[in-house]
Amino acid sequence: MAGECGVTIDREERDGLYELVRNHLGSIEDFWVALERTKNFAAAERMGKEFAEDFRLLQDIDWSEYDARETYVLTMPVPELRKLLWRLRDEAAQVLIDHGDEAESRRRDAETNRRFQIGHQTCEKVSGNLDSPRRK
Amino acid sequence: MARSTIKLTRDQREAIYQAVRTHLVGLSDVFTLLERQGDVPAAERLAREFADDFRLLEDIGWHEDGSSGQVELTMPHVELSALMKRIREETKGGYDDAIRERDSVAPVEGLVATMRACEAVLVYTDAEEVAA
Repeated sequence: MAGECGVTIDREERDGLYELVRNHLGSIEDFWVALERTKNFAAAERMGKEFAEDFRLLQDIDWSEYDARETYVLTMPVPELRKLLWRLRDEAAQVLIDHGDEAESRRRDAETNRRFQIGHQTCEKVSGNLDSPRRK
Repeated sequence: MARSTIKLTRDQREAIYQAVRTHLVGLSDVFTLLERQGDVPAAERLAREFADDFRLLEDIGWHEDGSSGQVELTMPHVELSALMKRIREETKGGYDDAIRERDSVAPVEGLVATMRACEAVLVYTDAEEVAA
């Protein structure tokens, strides 16, 4: 059985991951469309698993937007956490690339953009640590 | 003590699947509670319920047609028991409403089938709980 990861992140990194999860949860209506309207059960299953991963991460980093802890321990099993971080990283990269120079980005709250950047970097850092030879 | 294997018949699977699918219609409430209402505890509680739904669907299948034979439930029995009790209670609420409002017979039959399927699973999980 894959062990828990036990990686510790700081509050800023946590806020970055929280922003990315929140962004993904914004697509939650798509799940209903796949399940009930288009009856694309394979898509509903994929999305359901992704939301389950989001919920699991939020157990570790807390569901509240603002949380006072200085550090957070990620307790998800390594394979699940790696998969989740890669997905969040790719979604963050897409958002940052797509809207990098657009008016929408300029209008977007600067703090939100900063958290997106930090979230992306945190995904890179933590998933990189998970893949390091010392952990294997 | 060895854990007993719990299997659903095709009809039991169908009855429980419909209840889970009905519950999943409310998945977006997680986002609404979190983003618009700021009710973090409620969002978290609801998300745990949906995570249980997703886990059950891993066993019984996501497609509405399902398999032709029995399906084995591999969820930890403590979680499975809690989930079956929740589905049974939610279904009972719908059943009581339907009876009170004198709805058509067909939906009530489906609700009864769901409650019976939950009871059938709980016979196993509760027996283990007592034995432990």
